[in-house]
Amino acid sequence: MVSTLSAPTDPGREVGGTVPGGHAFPTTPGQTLIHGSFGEGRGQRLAVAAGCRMLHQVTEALVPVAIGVTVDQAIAPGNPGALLWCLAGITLLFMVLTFSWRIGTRLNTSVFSHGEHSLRQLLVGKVLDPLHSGAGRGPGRLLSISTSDTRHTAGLSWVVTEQLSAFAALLTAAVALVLISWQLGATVLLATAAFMLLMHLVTTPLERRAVQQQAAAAESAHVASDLVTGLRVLKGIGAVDGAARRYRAASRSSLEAALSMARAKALFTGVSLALSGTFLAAIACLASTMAANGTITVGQLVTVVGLAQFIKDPMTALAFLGAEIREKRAVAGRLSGLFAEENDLDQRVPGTPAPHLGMPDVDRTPGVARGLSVAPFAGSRFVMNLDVGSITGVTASPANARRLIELLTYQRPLTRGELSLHGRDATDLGPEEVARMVFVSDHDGAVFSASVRDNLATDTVDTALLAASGLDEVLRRLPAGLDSRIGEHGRTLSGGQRQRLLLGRALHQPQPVLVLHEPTSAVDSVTEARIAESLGRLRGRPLILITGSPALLGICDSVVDLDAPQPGNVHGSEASNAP
Amino acid sequence: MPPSQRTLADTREVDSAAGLPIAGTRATWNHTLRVFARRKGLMALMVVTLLAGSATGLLVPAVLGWMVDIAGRGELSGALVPAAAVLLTAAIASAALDSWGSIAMAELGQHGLAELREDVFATALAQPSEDLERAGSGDLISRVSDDVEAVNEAIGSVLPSFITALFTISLTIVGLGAIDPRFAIAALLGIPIHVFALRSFLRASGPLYRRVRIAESQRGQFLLEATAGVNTLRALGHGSRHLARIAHSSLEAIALVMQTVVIRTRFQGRLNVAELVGLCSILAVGYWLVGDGSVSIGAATAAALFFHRLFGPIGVILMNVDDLQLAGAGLSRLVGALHGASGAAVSPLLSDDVGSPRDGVVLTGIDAGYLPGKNILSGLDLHIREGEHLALVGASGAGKTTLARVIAGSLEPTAGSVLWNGVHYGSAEGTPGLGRSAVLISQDIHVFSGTIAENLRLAAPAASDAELLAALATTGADWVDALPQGLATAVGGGGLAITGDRAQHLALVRALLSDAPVVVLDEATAEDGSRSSQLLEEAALRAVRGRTAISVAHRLSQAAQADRVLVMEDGRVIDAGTHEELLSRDGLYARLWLAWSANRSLS
Repeated sequence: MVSTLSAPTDPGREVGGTVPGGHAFPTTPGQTLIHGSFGEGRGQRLAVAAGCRMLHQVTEALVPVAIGVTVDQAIAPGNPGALLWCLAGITLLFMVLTFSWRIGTRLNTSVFSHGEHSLRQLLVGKVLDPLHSGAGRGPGRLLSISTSDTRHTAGLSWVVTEQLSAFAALLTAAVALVLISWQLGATVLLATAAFMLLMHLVTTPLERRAVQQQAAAAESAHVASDLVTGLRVLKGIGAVDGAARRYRAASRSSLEAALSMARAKALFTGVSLALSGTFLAAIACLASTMAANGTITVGQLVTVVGLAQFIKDPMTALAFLGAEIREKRAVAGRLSGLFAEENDLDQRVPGTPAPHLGMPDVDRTPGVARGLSVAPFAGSRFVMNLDVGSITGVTASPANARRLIELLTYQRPLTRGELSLHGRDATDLGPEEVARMVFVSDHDGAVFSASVRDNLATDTVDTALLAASGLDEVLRRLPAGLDSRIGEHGRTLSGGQRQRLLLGRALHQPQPVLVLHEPTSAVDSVTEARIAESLGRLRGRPLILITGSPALLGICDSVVDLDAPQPGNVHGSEASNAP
Repeated sequence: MPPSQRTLADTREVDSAAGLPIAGTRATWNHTLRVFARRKGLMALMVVTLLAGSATGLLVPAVLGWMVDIAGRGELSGALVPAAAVLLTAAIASAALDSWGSIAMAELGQHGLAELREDVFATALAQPSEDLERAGSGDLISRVSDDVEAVNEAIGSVLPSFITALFTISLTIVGLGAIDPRFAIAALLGIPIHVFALRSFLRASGPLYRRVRIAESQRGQFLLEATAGVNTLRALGHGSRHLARIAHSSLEAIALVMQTVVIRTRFQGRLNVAELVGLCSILAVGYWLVGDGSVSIGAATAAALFFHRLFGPIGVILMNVDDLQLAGAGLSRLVGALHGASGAAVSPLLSDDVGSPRDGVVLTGIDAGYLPGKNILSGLDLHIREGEHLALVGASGAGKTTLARVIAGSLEPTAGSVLWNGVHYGSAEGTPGLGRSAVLISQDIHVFSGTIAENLRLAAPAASDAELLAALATTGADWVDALPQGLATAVGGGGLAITGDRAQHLALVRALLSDAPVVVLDEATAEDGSRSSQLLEEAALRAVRGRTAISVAHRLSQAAQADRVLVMEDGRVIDAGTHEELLSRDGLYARLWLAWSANRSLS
């Protein structure tokens, strides 16, 4: 499978999060369900699919009827012409049956898959939307909750066609039964309904037990795979025996759950089979009595027995309609709740003009507050130099460094005064504009399963920047240089190699301000010293280094300590305190 | 991103071609039969009950035919009573027997599967680490999770209906033959079509399903990367590119899914043709036999009903063949993991040419690497005295990690020997009898699902809560006290998420708790910069106190505290000595130290 991170064809969609196709998000459970199964022209295809599946069920219902008719018309009287006609009719019946199933299934699968796809794209679009913070949920968690929900929600299309075809089948069977004998037909239909109710009452607790056991089995399977994931750690500390014991315990409890599920399931199917067998015996007895009286023919007897067995399935399907719709609504509600979440990072006052692109020219605009002003915690304010060629160091505890990065990357809604660039407040600029001005390279930034070149996220690779980041050395070890693929999360690279890739990517970004967070924490001292030296020589746009590394702090013009006690309101390097 | 990373010197494409072995069909069957043979009684019970269940089930259409005959003769309704009674008994007996049979089958299959997966896990633990590395730990994980699940699914739901269907079909054919052999022949007319349909379906479906799985997992991976890296994507402004990448892979997966639907519906269509041929033949034969008086109308009706009842079971058999195939593949991968392992662990260390025993760790003539023919270390000799603290210093790719892993016994050298106080221990992890000599704390950190206490007890199963608390206090991990339930706080998947440096801290506590005399720390304190790394550095010192310790030093402050420093370059030791000795020699180490301490004083 080829995957390249090429630019999208639509230039208007610069940043992730615009709704694909430009439609509004469905914001209620109902709208979400409808979008999944009927939206974007899926409705017409679904209608055809439903028609085909109904036709298929009708023809299935007619097979026992056809057998009965053949017995009556051809076999009992010994009529060869009737036999030919009957066999021709059965052939036609099967042709309709098989083609309607084929077309219906294909169309329905297509509607379902594309509906799921569309919902999934909406969901990912929302997660990636730069104006939406995700309200404290980790995006990974968000994803794991919601991908199965898109599948369930789009599954409405199957429910729709299944229910319609069940209805058609039941109707066909009812008509056939009533035509044979209306008393018998009414009895069979009423008895079937009553019988289904009885069976539902008997088997529901059994079924619930089976579902609970299934959850238990899944849980212990999870424990097992967790142990395997940490296998290298286990071997490292020699915890082989302990791990084997724990795995055995997990495996045994999984076995217990699986066995008790099997017992519950066997009981469940056994009871329902016995009940339906009893029901069939009763119907057969009744119909045979009528046939013996001459009320119905022998062929009709065959048809009645056949239909009595057949109508259970569509009746069951119809009985679960309510429950299925409720379940789908609940699932769709989780999705639509997410879709309906407001874009909490969209804090710009409505009606204000779009901000200027790029940095203000401070040298020609007298009187502006120069520098990057941040207030990462209440009552604090730090100003960092943004002059061309400046390098500012920031030392901070991991928690404070995290706060600063959250601020600089606009990960949560901000209040006025928390972040401003050359006197322009971030809440006036908006997250997208802030991201166009400041590039923050987090030390645990993500790399993607693509080539090194794709991961550099630039159109033109600059060899000088590759050298400055120490990435040139990594590239020499890679089989295909810049075009080497680096696997999922860049796992084929070591920690130090991946960190140099992140640094190389940061240096290639066009933003006028660059912020690097612990860019060398995983590289060895030799390489760190080399990187520090080349960063010190680079001196172009302003650079801010959030780091505890002495080598990196050594190249800074000034250092801001976020952890220092706060005597006054304003802290900052001497160079950047000018108003 | 979790800081679990491979510190392989070579970069390589993740390739499953060199994965764990896969057992052949015969080996898989042999294993399965051995497992079943251990429970002969259960197996006999299963076969008997399922056969009896199917047989009584077949009484139903036969009795219906009997009722047709009674009705056709216009007899009094009292004549129907015995038939109805038989019908009722047959239905209930068949249901009961089927239930027993499937419980017996579950017992048989699930016990076999549990034994198999436990054996596979134990074998995997005993295997040399580098074999697993080469195969990719993902391979083992997918065997113990996905393959076990596929087999489990087959045993739990596919196999019971499959076997019941198989019995029903065979007995139906027998039943038809009992009415009249010519009915049986008519019923068999559809079989060539079944065979043709199944063969062409299987030929197309196997590769196609594999492609679907690959495409879907690719999509899942892209999704995960995009959502896990959402902050990076926002910073780069690349959200829509990744959305487009996901859409592209998703549409590719859908196109493949549509192809599978096409071949499945085509298959189903061919089955319909077979049903049609069979049904028409039965009806025609019925017409003929009733006409010449050899069977009654009731018998002809019963034959048609018999055959109509076969539609379901035949569908079950044929439509589930691919699930069973999948389970079979999973089974052979599980059995393969079991059998392939034993031969691989032959170690050159067990030769007896041991020189005069010296105390501490003695490495003689070590060659080691990750890929065949590409050694990173060659001919390396090293003696670490008992209780000595040794630091390894050098640039990336110098071989520090490889050497550390050889010392820890987690990488088997291709030549040479590793001794601890005169005893081989390189393969000790595979032979619990020898005991554990060394622990390795690497940057591979994993927080196991379970409580903090359970995580720690992995290293010391018998430790009491008080001992655990003492170890936490010694290493300065007082943050555990602040957790909602202290030691009993659930962490890992499903529990409280803890940060990377805390996970690393727990790993160091485990090292302290383990009773191994040798502790190897590989980049253990390089997790984060600045202050938390000082805390971890301190914890590491406490964890190795009084033991032989080897640490891969990223920060030269660690090296300065060691008894001896080894400077490595290109897989060789180019210099060794105490911190002071090395400084006085004006080599690579002195230059590094100068740069490092200059920066230090500035800060």
